[in-house]
Amino acid sequence: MIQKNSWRNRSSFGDRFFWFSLAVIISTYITFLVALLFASSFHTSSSSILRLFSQSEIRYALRLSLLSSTVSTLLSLWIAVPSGYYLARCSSPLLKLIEVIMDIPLILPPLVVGMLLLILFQTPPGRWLQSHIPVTYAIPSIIIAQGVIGTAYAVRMMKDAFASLDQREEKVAQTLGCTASQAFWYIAFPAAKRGIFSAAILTWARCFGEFGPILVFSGATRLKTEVLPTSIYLEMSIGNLENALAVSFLMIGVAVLLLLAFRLWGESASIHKPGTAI
Amino acid sequence: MKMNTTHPFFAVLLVTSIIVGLALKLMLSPYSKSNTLKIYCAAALRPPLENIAREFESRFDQHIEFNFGGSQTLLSNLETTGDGDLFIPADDSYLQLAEQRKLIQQIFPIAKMHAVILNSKDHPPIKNFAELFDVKLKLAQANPDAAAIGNLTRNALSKINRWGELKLHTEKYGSFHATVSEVANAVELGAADAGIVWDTVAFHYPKLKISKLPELDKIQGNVSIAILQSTRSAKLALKFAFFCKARDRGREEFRQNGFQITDDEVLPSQLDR
Repeated sequence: MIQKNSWRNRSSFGDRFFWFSLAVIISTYITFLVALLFASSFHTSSSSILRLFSQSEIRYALRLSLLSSTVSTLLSLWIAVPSGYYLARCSSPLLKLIEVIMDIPLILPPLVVGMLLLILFQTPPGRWLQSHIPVTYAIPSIIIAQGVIGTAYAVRMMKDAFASLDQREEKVAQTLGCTASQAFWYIAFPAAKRGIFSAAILTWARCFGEFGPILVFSGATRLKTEVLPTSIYLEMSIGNLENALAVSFLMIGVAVLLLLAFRLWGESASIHKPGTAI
Repeated sequence: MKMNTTHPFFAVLLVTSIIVGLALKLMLSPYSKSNTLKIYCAAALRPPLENIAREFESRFDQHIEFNFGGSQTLLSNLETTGDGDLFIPADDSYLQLAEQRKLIQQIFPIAKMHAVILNSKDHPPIKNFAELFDVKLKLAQANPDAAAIGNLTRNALSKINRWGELKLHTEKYGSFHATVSEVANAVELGAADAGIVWDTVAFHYPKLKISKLPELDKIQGNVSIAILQSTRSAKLALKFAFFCKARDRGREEFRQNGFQITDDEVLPSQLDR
């Protein structure tokens, strides 16, 4: 806010040129993104998108995509928040190695992640687990595949979020008798709300669009493990570009609406609770 | 320091558990069927097989579960998991690989497909093989190491000493793709002027013209259905294979989707055994 006001007050040519340059860069990028959608819109129609809702397979894929992304995001955060806090606050000679290992899902091609998961669940412990809970080619495999990639993103974001917080408040609390756990739950955790919220949004978006590991680890079984990216792949594999793009636009529409709603809700929460940095 | 509110850990745990529990309940409810026939099927064969499966399910009160994907991916998957009843790849070269790995019990040929040139709507149709070497032509081909049609094209053209030349030309002016569907999609979108695809793939692009060249005549792919060693219901798997080959059922469905069907057929009386 302060920055916006000061921007208005500044009238020097240099400042205006600076902000103008930033505006040009962002508008060029947005134009490119809009052009992507605009060019694709000629290959499908609104009636094709509406027709999708009459297909039980697509309705199922939409529901599964929304639910699995939400579950994966929540589970990812359960790992990412403590891991991010640990990486941001602890100093250990092994820290760099730990970070590299946690980044592996980001480095590997998505198909390889799927293949690795498939192999893992065919090992004796994996088979034992599957004798109790079916994982491979079943819904849990979607959540695991999305979660593996989503967690890697979330850990990175949570580490940055905690690292950017001033550590002094936690230190002061601890000198006043707080345990490390209390300092985390009552000081660091609430202060990192904004970071957790951003991580949740981006992780959800990443999980919603995940495809590579799901194709290998979960298969593409209609009315069972078909998520929206799988539907796009199945339509493209028989040359039905119109339907493939219609599903893509449906995905974009749903994702944009939800992300917008999340952000607006986040902003209104920060307005109602002055001082809460959501 | 006195903390008189609920511990945030429990609040977060409660909210997460409720959301995850509700979502899992909604996700896990739709399927729990016995009598399921598990089929690994090439994604390109989805249209005829989904229709055949629908009819089979309603006639015999069985449930069919398809796992669609690229033939090579499916082969790797069924090898890794050791689970499934039937395997229907886009081309029987994958069945030979599966046989070498001792994954197959029995194979039934169903249909044939031939290589053709799919022409972009912005480019005049190719009339002869020499036109493929036009420097202005962007030719798309399936990768010979990744896709069956690419492999068979390489073999057929190597025999008449034209492969090396066409490969170099495609690398310089055109493009290689991982799957035959990607070749067809590149032509459909105008990213390529022409592409070598199966006639059954071209069938799904009715707005585009096809060219048949004598040099490509001998490139033939065979679609077959294989019963896997891992099947838990060989009798049911055999029944579905027969159903796919039956004159008025599977064969008709394949024919309607642009396939040339094999000469042998299953008579209706064999289906009810």
